[in-house]
Amino acid sequence: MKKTALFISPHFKCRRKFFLIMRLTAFLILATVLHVSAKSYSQEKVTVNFENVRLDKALKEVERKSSFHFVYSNLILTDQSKVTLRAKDIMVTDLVEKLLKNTGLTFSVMDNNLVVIKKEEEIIQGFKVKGRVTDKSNAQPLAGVSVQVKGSNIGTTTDNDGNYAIEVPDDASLVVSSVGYDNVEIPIDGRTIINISLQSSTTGLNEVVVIGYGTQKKTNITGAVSSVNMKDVIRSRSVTNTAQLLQGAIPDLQITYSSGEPGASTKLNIRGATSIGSGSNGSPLILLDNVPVASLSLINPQDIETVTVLKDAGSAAIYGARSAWGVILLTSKNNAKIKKTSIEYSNNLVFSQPLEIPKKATPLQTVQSFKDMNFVPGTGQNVDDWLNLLSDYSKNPGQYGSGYTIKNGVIYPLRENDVWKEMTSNNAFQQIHNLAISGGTENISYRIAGAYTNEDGILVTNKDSYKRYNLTGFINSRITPWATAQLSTMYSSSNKLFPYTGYAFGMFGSASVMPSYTLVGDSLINGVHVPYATPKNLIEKASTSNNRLDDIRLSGKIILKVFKGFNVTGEYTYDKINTVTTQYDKAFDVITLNSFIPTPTVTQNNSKYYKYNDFTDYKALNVYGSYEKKIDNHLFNLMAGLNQESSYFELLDAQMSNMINPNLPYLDGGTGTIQPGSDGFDGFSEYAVRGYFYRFNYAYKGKYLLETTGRYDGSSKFPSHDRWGFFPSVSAGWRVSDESFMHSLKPVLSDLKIRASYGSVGNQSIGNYLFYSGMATRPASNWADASGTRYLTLDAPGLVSSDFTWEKVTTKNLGIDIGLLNNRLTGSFDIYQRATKGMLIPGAQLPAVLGAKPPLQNTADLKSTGWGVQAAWRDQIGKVTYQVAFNLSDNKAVITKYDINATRLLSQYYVGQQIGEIWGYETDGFYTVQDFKEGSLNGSLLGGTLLPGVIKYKGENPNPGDIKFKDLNNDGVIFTGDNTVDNPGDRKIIGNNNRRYQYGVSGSVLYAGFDLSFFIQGVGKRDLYIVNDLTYPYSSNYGTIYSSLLNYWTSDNPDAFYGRIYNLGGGNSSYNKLPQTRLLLNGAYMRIKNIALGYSVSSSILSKAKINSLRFFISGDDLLTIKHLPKGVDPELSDMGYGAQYPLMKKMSIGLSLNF
Amino acid sequence: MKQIRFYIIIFSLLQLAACSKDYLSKVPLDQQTEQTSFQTYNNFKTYAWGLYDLFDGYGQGPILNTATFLFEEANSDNLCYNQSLNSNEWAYQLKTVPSSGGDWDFSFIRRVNIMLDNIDQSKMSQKEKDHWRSVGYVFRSGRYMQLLSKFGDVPWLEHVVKDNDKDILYASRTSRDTVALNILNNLLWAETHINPAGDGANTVNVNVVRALISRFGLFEGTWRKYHGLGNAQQYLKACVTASAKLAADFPTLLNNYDYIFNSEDLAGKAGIILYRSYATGQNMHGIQRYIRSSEWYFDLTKDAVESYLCQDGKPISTSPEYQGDHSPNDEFRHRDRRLYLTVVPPYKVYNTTDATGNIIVQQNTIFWKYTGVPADREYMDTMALISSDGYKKLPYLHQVNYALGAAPHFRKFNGGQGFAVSQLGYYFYKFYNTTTDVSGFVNTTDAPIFRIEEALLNYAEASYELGEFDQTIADITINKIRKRVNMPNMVVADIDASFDLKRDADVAPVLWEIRRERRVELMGEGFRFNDIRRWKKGNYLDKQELGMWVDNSKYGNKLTIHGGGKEGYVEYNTVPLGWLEYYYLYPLPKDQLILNKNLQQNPNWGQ
Repeated sequence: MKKTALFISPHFKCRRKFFLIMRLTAFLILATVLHVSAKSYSQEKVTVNFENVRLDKALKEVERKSSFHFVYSNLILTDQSKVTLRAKDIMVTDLVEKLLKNTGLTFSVMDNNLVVIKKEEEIIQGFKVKGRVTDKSNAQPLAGVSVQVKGSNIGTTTDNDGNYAIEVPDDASLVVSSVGYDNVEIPIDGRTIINISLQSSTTGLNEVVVIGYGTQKKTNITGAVSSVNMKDVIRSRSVTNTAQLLQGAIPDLQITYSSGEPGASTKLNIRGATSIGSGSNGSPLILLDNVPVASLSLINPQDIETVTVLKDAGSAAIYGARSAWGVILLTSKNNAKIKKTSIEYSNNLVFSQPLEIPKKATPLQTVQSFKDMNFVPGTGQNVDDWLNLLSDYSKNPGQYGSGYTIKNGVIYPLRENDVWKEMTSNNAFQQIHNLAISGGTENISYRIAGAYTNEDGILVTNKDSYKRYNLTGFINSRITPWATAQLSTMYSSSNKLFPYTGYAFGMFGSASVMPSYTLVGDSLINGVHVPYATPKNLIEKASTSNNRLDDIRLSGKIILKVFKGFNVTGEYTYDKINTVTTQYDKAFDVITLNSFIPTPTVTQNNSKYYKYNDFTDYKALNVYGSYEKKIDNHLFNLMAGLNQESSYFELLDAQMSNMINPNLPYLDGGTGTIQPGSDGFDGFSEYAVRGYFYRFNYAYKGKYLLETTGRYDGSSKFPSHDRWGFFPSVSAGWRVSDESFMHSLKPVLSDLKIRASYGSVGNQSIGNYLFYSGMATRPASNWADASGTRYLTLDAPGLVSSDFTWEKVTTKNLGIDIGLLNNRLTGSFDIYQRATKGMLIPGAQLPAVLGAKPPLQNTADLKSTGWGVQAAWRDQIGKVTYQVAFNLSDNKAVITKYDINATRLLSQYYVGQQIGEIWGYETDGFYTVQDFKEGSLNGSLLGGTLLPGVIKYKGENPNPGDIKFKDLNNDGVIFTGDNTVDNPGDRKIIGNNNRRYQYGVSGSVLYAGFDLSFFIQGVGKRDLYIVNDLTYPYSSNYGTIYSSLLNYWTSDNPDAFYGRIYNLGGGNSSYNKLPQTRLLLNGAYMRIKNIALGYSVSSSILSKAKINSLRFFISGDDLLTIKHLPKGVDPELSDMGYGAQYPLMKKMSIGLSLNF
Repeated sequence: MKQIRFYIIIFSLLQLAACSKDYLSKVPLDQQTEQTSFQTYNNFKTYAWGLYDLFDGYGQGPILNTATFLFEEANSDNLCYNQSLNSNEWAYQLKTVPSSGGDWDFSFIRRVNIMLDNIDQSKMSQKEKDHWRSVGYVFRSGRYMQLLSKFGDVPWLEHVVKDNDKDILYASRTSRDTVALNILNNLLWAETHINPAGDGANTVNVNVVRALISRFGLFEGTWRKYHGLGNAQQYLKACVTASAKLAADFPTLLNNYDYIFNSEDLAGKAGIILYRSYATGQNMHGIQRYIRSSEWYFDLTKDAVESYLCQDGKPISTSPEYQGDHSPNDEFRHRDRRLYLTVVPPYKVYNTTDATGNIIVQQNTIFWKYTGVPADREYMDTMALISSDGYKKLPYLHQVNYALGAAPHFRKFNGGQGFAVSQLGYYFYKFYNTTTDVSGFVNTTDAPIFRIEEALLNYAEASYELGEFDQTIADITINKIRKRVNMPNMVVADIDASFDLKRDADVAPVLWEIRRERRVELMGEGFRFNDIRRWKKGNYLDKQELGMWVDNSKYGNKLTIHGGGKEGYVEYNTVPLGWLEYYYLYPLPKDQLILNKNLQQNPNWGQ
């Protein structure tokens, strides 16, 4: 065995370091920005002229001229080996081959541009390797670094001085890994001493972040930008919606969703309210590879590589008028790389059940509440008899086998039936499959990926479901050395089913309002089993609404390298989105406690089949060029281009009744009259935008950074003379940690950057034709001809202001990025102020005499402030690698100008209003019998006369048990005053319903193939005033009472929480449930979104099966929630009517991912 | 320079992008504009259909509130709305100044004015122009009548107001005198310029104009008289003139009182001047559905029931036919049949149990049979005689044809039947029939907007106020109305102070009887509250609303008896706090007063 002292060239360690980083960075920028394998190393060419030069000198010369470096033992290069060679534009690999000819040496090219030179005949046996691991950026030794022999269990970690020693069986490779650094694989090549320097990983500071029409090294970013790798948020989660995956992952990005049902829609918001004007419906601009996406829900998260959120104008102004709500940039996994063919497959099998369903009061409690509010059931029962029967039933349920009894011809239901529970199933199943094939050579690379998602909701039956197919393709071709062409295609198809019936309150309404004594199942009537109208039966019998969304997106792209440093990109995307919705209100017989006569849920005439069909043609063109120039310590970057997009939308909507065959509904299948949908038979909508943009960057020594961007933007949504706007921004950064005076702090303070930005963007998230005074046609609501057909009529045109234009959003952002302890601890903090100027609101508020809504004008301003912080700790203890990350953000917005409400009426926005504030009364206990004139109350304690001096709400005639409010303005009466801020009567601001202190916490631990991760998300503070059946006893006419709401006032319960209840929400209920301090709910919550445990099979086992990696996992979503709302009310979801919510699902999943 | 090729490529790409100048010019592809919509006669016709929104009729769809007349009537002493206790905001002093809204709304005026302002530039003949101006005047006057009635002085807007018309936007209100005169003059102009036949069946025509003049003339004339404003004569005369023409043009009345309110199609029906047409799948309301459910909260008051004459033409206070009110059968006996067509008369049938309480039929089949007790079927027989299948034959049927066991049918003692329940015992069922589709809020009976009977009653009352009422006028107005419900004629000479012992002493005997006829004929149609206001009789709301006389033991002692006790009048609402003198005019919304300093609140409402 031959032992040779080996070491890596000192040049490589020191002098080359800087250049290497620069070159690497440059490469990564190019590769990602331009989506091109601009130059792969093996293609790199140099020109040399060696005249009898020593081989090692020649190699150094090549190192200097190229990005290659060489690893070799000094001993194998003898002094004699001199070379003479002259070559122009020769490929480095060819050159090396020529240089080594006849030297008895051979070489191999490693992944990261290493060329290892060794003797041809070298035979390597088992031996010991030792060395030192250092940080490439500062040459400091790294402790706790894992050093492993590839494909084996042999491994060790470095000591405190960064030293390691390891016994290797043969001439294998070492895999060196440490948190915060890129893994390095180094062939041993017979060496016994291998010193290794590690490069900070791409998730650290050298990460290249996607920004508008380009990329930027994270160290050079000066705007408020956050980014995540999609794989870090997907984890093992059984979530198929990209938006939901982002919840809690990025500070300042708020994700809310409408419901727990499969395929539910999501709403995204960055940094709170941007506008309260016409543009208030805006949402962040979401782009996939530079082009807006139709719907985030259509994109398979597995196709996404990174997500970047541009929060301030400094980073977003390049998108001009559409970036007011922030910008979310998605990059696909489509990138040109030379790699060997790889097949990845993963799946996820999910078992779901409802997270929480509401609990109703028992029949006894419900009937008792009838008695307490003097309610006479419409179904005729005598309440006292009913109570007796119920108490009898509780003693002897067997006596009433059917669950009800008949007395005096009236049915008395007795058994408790939980219609909520009955309508949900406990074993909904969902599956996700992903398959991706990718590969590439020097000239052609490709990726094809497909995904299938099938989600069954938690309602009984599989009528609530969501299916999605995704197929994406990408091909990159280097046509010539200076031109690359790319084609990406994306096809998504989703199909959402949901049971539909127009009967009474619908399924969720029924579930909400049906009392706990509701009869369930069916009844035999005239020999036919007729179902009761319970939600379960409705679901089972109903037809489904079917919502299909198809999206085909084709993108072509050409990248030209015009000359060194100057590239031009042209890309064109065509996106066609097609929606088809059908819905059928199928008639079937039901019975109710009211009527045992089988009655169809809907008559033939109203049993309608609806069909809605629309499509959007979206076309986008981007042409932009970038030029980079370095002069000494000055680095200049200029990017400029043009963007234009147009959207054309068309719909067709019709309905038909009286189906010949109710099981086969279609528009031509009915005998009724074909009728238009709610907005007529058809409709059109168009808009277009065009913008010219630039970005200019300047960096001095990588320490002082300056960036300015701008966009001159035009939009069809504004009248031609006010169509164009210019939106500039400027930002600057200072990398303090790179200053020489900070050098001594380097071991602790690895990185420190201060950045600031200022910029302005526009908001064009308004209707398409608001500047146009049109008259819409509609059927006259009122008048029909002799045949009963309504006449067509025209609506009066609205008032339009001749000059309205963009809402302008100006942001100031101050941020700091920090890395401590070798970047084990990284973090950033941003504080910002955003001013929205000239929000489009109905101009000046004009007297009602005008007879129309005042025209829209740019006359309101909003100012919001906020901050966001994120921190992550990554470290390794022995073989255990772990990390914890945390983010927290908050914002609030105040109206600074609102011309139309000079008097500051509370019914409108007003100057000084904080968005989300809740005005209400201060609760002051209950009225008591003592408050009334003796003898004036009737037997039910109603209709009394208040004693003089007892305060009451103007217009109210209170009864004992009604809520008293505090007379805050001491005028002897409770009232709304002028309903203005200055005279709000007896109200004050009692809370705010904005989500404050939104946070996310995630963490993971890796050990010996096992990985465990968790993710927690929550809201720190939020007030809610919600009055619905689940939060207030008998808030509505039709509701029933829930078990958490029984603490209402009665003469026997004078210290109750809720006021007196009245005949189904009537009487003084409206006063008792006015917004008030007592009824505020705490909307704060913390939810464990995911916990996952995975196991990766050791590669030594897998390699035999030619499998690269294999991981199994078990994962749980939405397992635990800490909240303060009544049972069945979820802090994340919106009301489906009567307080009902489609519950979130608790999901347990198993799955695997495989790569070979 | 090989780079030249790049520049060519880039240049051509940029050209491609910039080629279309109109790239950013997009106008709606499915909207008209004012310039295109008012050219031809048919253009105006199309636009004008939307103006018919002014007439609510029976409302729209499932929201009963859209049938505004019901709630208007419930403000009066005719109807007791009993969804919640003491909810009449006038009687219980709950009416407060609204912060905004409050019907101070001129959008409809603008809608009409857009049409009116476009007439001159259109391509129509002068005759056609006059016609559409007339139609516009009718609708604008119709809306101004509502505004005038509520607020008194209101801004008069002759043309479309623009957002920079500061002198109009911030003006003070136009005086009632001017507004009323403008309405009258507009209507009189329309009467002579409108195409007499209108635009086909059931459109605004000369008769509609006259019906409006009749209604407005009486309203403004009597308001002026009783509120001391002067110049009442002009309006009363206009009413008489227009009404007389209508009386002559509509000599026949619809023979069946019930058909006015329960016909699927009012087209061509005698005496119907204008109606809101309802049709399946197009335009539907929910009145009949509500009436036949548990959610109809309207009862007649005892006071209203007592206003119906006996069949001898005399009021209950003096008629020998009246047998007292201690049993429902007695109370209903020998009364004006319009009472039977308005309130469910007393009856009883077996529907679920026989006399011994045994269940004789499952709950799932329609079933009823006579009890065998003659009194229980007395009014069933009456109704069989005066009504017919599908209309007001008894027993009363639930929306799914489930037979009601008995009437009166109290909510608090409903015998297992939750529907058609009443608090006072007088269940208001004028719009009840069993022919229209009540499977949902899809009822399609047409709603009368103007009918000749109202014009005749206006005629009679205005004549009286002018001192012109005599037997001749009585015969062509009130007696025509009475004749078709088999009531004897009003004999003017017979009416003196002793004719009705319960008369409001302030009101002259003959006028009292004219007003009675109006109350009875138009019961529950939304006129009464405005009548009370124009007569300045707000004190009528000070009476506590009472119900039937009952023996509480027959109702399980569940009912609340006025003054306590075991028997007596049922009560629901407690004693009213009483009408406030300044209630005659509605309050203006606060925000408008703040916006326009020249606007004054109506007296005594405070700010």
